[in-house]
Amino acid sequence: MPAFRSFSLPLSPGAQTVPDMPAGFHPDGLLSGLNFCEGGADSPPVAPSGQSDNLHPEGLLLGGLNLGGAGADIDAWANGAHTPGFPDLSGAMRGTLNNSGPEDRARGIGEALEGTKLAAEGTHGLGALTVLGAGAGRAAPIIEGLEGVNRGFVIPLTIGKGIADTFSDVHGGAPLGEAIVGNGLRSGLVLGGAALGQAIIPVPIVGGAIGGYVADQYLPRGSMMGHGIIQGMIDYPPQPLDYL
Amino acid sequence: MVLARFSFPWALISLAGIFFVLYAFGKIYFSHATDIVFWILVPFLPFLILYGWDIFRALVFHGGRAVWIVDGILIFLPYGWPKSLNTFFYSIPLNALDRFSTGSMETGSFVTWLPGIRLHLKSGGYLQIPSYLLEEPRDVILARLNQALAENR
Repeated sequence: MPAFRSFSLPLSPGAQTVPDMPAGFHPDGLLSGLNFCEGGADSPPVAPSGQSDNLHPEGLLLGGLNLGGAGADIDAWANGAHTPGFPDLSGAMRGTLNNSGPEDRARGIGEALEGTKLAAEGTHGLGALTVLGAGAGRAAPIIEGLEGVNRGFVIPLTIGKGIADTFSDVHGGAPLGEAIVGNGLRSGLVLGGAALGQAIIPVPIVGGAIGGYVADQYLPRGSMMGHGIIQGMIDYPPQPLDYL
Repeated sequence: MVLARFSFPWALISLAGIFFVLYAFGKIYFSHATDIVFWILVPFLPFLILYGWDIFRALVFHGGRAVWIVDGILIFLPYGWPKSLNTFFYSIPLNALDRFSTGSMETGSFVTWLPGIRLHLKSGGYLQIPSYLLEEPRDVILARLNQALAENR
């Protein structure tokens, strides 16, 4: 028998037997043949996997039936009013349900800057490709002009995105130091990705644009990087993020 | 006559980078996380495939040759836009070349420190050879190119 040992049912003290229980339920704690009361009512809830930190704070949810918290649905089972529902995931989705704060506006500015940079690089590349396809040489003035214009875009817009992301993370609750360090490092890595892409993909403009785009897609959020760096330099163990 | 070969580490890094880029684009596409920038960059992916295929062929079948001469025609890996969709390599008659010089690659980006060799055309303009991708030092390649140009002039 697996270690299902903590599904304590909060029955009232005098309720040794509960009438009209659903099939398979036993007042000693056997539900469908599994003993959920092995650890006793005072044991902390433990999931079947043994991972107690995966549990919902309100109690353990099993198919919409709250078996572990105070005021569990046993009364609903008893009077037939229980209807199976979906687990409450609002805790896990909290960060995505409330997205109209200043951090999201700053994040939007950052994404707009990054999008402007990459769209400019891409359209410069397409422009150069069109000109070359029309028969112009590599050293045609329009190609040099496109490359010159593109050169001025990349660094300022990457730095601008880093600043906007820093504001976003600070508004979202990140410590200022972690946001600055993390987003500074992130901007540097995005530029590094662009430089590496420009080196290993020997196509003007396009190599850097692709390298920067892939780096930006795959790097974690700046405040998370800053959190790891700064907490890693402090003696006590890294603390979990509480603002995401 | 082979004048220069690919640097093996650089070639491997390039191939790995191309594979990663293709993997990343595929993952972005199949995870439905595409955006406008993704679709702007997608038309350039055939260049990557062409470039990677040419490097792979050169490494596996031709001993990693990157710059060579056949019948008075200089064939080389350029830093620039591919001239056709058949191969990334450029072919140009030696008698169409005026001279060679060294310089940084014009990447069209803020990356201005990559060393290379410029092939100045008699008709004006120049092409670029990314010498940092090659095994031989830039001066050695330049000397070989000048010698070949003098012999075919």
